[in-house]
Amino acid sequence: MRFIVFVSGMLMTACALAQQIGISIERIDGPVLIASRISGVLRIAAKTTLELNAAEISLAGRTWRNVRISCPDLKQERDVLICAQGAIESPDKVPLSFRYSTLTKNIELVLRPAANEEWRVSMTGTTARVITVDIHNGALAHLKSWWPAEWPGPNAGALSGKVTFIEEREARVHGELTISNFGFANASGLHAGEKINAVIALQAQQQGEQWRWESRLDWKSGDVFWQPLFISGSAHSLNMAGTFDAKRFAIEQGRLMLAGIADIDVTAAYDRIASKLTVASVKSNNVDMAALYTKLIKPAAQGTVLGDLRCDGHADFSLTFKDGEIVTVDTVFKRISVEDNSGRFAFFGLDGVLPWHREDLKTAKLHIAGGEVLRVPFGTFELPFETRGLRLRIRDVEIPVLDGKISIADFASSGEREGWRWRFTGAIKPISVELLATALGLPAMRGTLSATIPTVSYAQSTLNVDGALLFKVFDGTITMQNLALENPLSKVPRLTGDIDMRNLDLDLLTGAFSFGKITGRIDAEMKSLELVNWEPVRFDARLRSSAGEYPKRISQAAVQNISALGGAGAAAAIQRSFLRFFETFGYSALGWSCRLEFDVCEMGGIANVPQGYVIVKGGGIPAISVLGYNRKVSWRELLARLKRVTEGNVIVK
Amino acid sequence: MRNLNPIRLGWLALLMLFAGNLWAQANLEINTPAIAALQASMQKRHTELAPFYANGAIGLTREGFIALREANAVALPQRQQVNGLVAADNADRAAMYREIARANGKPEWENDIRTTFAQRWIDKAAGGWYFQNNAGAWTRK
Repeated sequence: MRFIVFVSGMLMTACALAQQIGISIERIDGPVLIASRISGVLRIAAKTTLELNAAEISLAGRTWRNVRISCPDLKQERDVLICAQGAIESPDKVPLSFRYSTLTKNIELVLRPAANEEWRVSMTGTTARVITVDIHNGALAHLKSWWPAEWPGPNAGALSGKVTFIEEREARVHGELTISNFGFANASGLHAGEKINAVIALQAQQQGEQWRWESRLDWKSGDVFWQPLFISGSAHSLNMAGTFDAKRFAIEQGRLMLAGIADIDVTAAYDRIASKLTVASVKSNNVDMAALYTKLIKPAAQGTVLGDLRCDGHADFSLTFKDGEIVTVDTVFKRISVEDNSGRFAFFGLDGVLPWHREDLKTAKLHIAGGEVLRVPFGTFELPFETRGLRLRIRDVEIPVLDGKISIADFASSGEREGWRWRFTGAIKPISVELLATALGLPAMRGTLSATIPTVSYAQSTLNVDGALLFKVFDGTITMQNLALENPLSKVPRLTGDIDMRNLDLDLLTGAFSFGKITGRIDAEMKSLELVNWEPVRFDARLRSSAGEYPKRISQAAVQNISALGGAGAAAAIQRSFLRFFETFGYSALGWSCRLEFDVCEMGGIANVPQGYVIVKGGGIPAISVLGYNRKVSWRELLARLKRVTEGNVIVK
Repeated sequence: MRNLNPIRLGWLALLMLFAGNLWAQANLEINTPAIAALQASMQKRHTELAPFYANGAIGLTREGFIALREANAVALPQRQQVNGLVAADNADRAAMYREIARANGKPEWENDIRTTFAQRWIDKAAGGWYFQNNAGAWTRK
């Protein structure tokens, strides 16, 4: 405390000589305090007064200019100078008092910025100086000046406790501080905390050029929002130990205990000169996924596809960082299950090790015991894959679905600058349509579904199928071409494509949709199909009897339904004639077309007649023809009629 | 087209002479199942957003979207939820402008439709709500 000896020497010498003494000090240098160009006056009278002005005072890196210290009644008791009611102005005026012993050089300085707030600094000892800072209800807002600019600033809270600094050959610091009702926020409000109550214990010991430190933070209560995470609750703690010197700050051992969520081990090294995190590691074992999801992920994932899940199982996580970037992430999954509460997807029994490295190739194999997508269940499968940075590759995987399989070959994805993109080829190996329809809650259908999936690619929010997607169903084939799905994850996904159906067995098809039985086969094409939010807004569709020889019969119910769709009908005509005695009729061909645009379906049949168009052309005995009269119908009206027909009818066999 | 600047308006007039009253025919009230679905979704969300328009946490941008302009006005536990609502509403708004342009058969009008709607939202905003003026500054209505 070289500077204090110097100042007191000035004072005592001056007192002996005159009634009014001018003080002038060019500079004072202390471990944390620097003051320059100090001038002042000591007036000795009935009341001794002291006035000091410092052009600049720096305390632990923060600088004040034009600081004025005044003491209207400076007393001396033996070797002790006492200022009971002084003030410091810079420019705010803060009450100040001090006691200074010219003999021991001990000093005690007390600042009382507000009622019930006190910052008491004392320096004692001769060989080993002991500096104690004793704070009672100190407003944390005062510390704003020392807060790093990039941190959210304090806006509320008080600090109480004591920190002791012992200046020996190798200095020591220890202390315990209680933080109450602490709040902080950045300007955007996206990093903020409120009503935080915590206790911090700290000790540090100088070892040569380096300090070795240890700290403990006990989180009693409070909320923190660090977009997108929100952490609340109590009994969290952070214990750390490490070293620091002029160049480097290191956490050698750190343990963050988030009560009821996870215990996380942390190490880190921060380069103080370059201001960057050089290396770090974060590790947590046996994390309870149910707790992690409920307390941490769910609030952050509101409104997304992950916003309402049920999670179960445990996982180990291990991350390493270098030069501020993530280098490796290793995850071990242990019997993890995830279920979307709105029933869109689920998987269970996820096991395996998932390694990832920013640059190196890593291979892994995950095991999935089963699950479901849109209520269609899938069975056990192995998922082998390779990762390298943001690239992911799955060479071959077969997923059992109902009684068949979906195979995916050569799945490759990468996170490019313009967004996520991936592609794969695959196949659907025969799946029973009956089982699929039951799972999807559709009317009972028969047949098998199998398909060759050409290249499917996803980029710039659009999924494209290059080539034809081929389904074998209703004993015929369905080919889909030029398929594109824009914004699949948005509220209005848009599907466009062309569909071609060949040789579909009408018996199987009409049986499925309670339409009334029709025996025969049809070809259908749907060009320029456009579905928005899975509802058709545009297409050019036509269907007609397939070429070839096969039995062609149509039930009375089907005739009535086709007529009802046309808005008027043959139904009444049947009822009036002898035809009502027949359950089925022969036909030679049937066909219908609909060109949908702007919510209007423009209809046609297999041939035109003066009154309209022919939908069913009679043939055989007894024969019946069905004509359509209306060329245009509102699409919604047509759908409503179709719904009435399929809901209101008993299948006529 | 209240929001068109004079130069653009001049071009538009010229275009109309040649192309025949093109833009004026855009039907902003056009309805398709997609537009109806988006409007219903936004309507439903509006009851959750309304208090945050009223207290100034959320404002209407000059680009036809909404923004969390004063997060500190939202209670801490709700802040991420409001972030999510804003993002979801903006996704619906973007989709709605796109769908209206497409339903008019003019996908290239999307930006003009968006700026027209931006002005509409501001005109319809309740007193006390915040919006961005033409210079981008937040203004209280």
